[in-house]
Amino acid sequence: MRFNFTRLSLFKFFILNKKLAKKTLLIINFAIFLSIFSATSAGISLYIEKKISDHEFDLLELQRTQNEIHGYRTLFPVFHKSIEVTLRLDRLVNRFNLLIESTNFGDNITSGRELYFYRFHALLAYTYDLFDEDFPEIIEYTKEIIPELYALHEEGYAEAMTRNGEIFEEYYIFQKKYRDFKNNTKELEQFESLTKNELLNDKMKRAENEQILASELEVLEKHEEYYDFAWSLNNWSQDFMQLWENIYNDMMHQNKSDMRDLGKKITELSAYESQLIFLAFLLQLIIFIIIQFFEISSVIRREKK
Amino acid sequence: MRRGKLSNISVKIVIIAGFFSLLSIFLDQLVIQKEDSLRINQLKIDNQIEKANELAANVMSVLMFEDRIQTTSNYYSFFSSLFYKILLNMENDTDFKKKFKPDSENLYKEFIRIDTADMLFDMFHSRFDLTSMSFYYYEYSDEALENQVKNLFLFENPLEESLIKKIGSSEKIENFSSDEIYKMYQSLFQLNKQFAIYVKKLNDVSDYFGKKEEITDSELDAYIQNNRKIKTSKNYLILSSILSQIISLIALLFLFRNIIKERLQ
Repeated sequence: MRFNFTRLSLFKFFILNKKLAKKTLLIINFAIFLSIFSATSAGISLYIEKKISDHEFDLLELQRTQNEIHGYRTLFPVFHKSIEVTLRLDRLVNRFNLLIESTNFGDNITSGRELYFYRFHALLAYTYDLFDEDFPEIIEYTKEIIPELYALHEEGYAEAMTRNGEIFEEYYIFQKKYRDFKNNTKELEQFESLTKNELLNDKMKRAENEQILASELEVLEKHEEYYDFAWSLNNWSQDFMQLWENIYNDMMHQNKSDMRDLGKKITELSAYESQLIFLAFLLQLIIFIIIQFFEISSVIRREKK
Repeated sequence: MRRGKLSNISVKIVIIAGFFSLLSIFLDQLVIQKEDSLRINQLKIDNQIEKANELAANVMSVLMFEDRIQTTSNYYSFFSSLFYKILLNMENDTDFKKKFKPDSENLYKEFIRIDTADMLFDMFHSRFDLTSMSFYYYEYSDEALENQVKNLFLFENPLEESLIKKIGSSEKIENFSSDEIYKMYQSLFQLNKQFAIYVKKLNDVSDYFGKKEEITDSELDAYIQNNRKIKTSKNYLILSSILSQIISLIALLFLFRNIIKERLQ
């Protein structure tokens, strides 16, 4: 079964009818104009859409980074709190130990173990991650990123954040001390329980022999040194976390402003695309009218002849 | 031009129209193929995002769990031998004992019993909590690590069964022998050592998830980049197809125009 329109009878009618030739030409020319206009619009759209798509991709990347930062930021308060709780518990334990030591039987009970040994081990247990192989990379990365991130801030702002770089130098000092601590202590030594005999003899100022007393004092001093190191290290890790919390906050603000800029650029490009298409339409319409004017004039002239 | 015959120009225009029509169909097919690969890639991205989220959640829960166990271990470390030392001095030094109230010996014994009971409870509770965490059921690519996770907090109890029962019962503290208290004091160290070892093992697990997360993120980046490339080339193909159709249409319009013009001449 064939339909009538498949025989192109309408086109035939227009094409073969000379009386309608002018009108047919006008319609065809108008169709050509529309086709060229749509081709131009498609070209403009592709060019602008490519730019928009690039911006959208950047926006997507920024959003991903922003989400990662949100994730990291939720961790900081937890770790901060853990360290703070440990430091406060340590202070409480220390006061309790000192309270016992201040009694007239205190020397029989307290020793360097109570005063420093268990406490420095407990405090250092939290911070062993700081001396992992890849942590110096984080330090170096922090050193690099701060001047870049705060390049537009007032002079001295970045320096103030890192106490003129002291926070980084301190890390390397702690690293040396930690190595010394590792070399001079046994793994998990704090979990070795003393025997009854050892416990009864584990007192302050017990040795009458000067040599033994001297060596005990040396150990006590060393443990006190480790304790001071552990306490300072915990405080330093809080400072370092604080520094990163600030960096993340500023990064987030920066990202938010970049995201706003990108959103604005996308809207502007979209508006620019519409304007460009409209302008192309106007230009092509003018060209079409001019061409049409000359073509119709030539047809009229030919007919007159 | 005779009726029914096309001029050379018209034939050329017909060829152009036909060529661009075919080109448009070909490009449309390419667009369909690109759409397919885009769909497959999008599916990969969705899976990868899900995987990355799971890994991030695992890293977080392992870290938090590790932090909790570390806090528990620290709490028990701080006082460690102090109460037992007081008790031991009371038992061995009458002058020392006189400095305390008569019933204080039981008080220090009670401290040790409570600490032991608490530590055993913490150990069991940690195991119970572990089995409700997602990382416990994760399919690890490293079998040794998986076994390590499955065996976390499955500790060997250093205390005899009868003593454990006695600690958990309402038995009066006076009925605990000096030897039993000593065993409890020792078990505090042994159990705490277990906690410290589990913290290290949990650290290995969080490192494992951290590394996996990094790999997954870089794979996700690659998929997103690939998606971007496919989208761009798909857009180019769509435009080329549209342009081919338009050229074909323009060619047909020129053909009609040409025929009319030839008719008018």
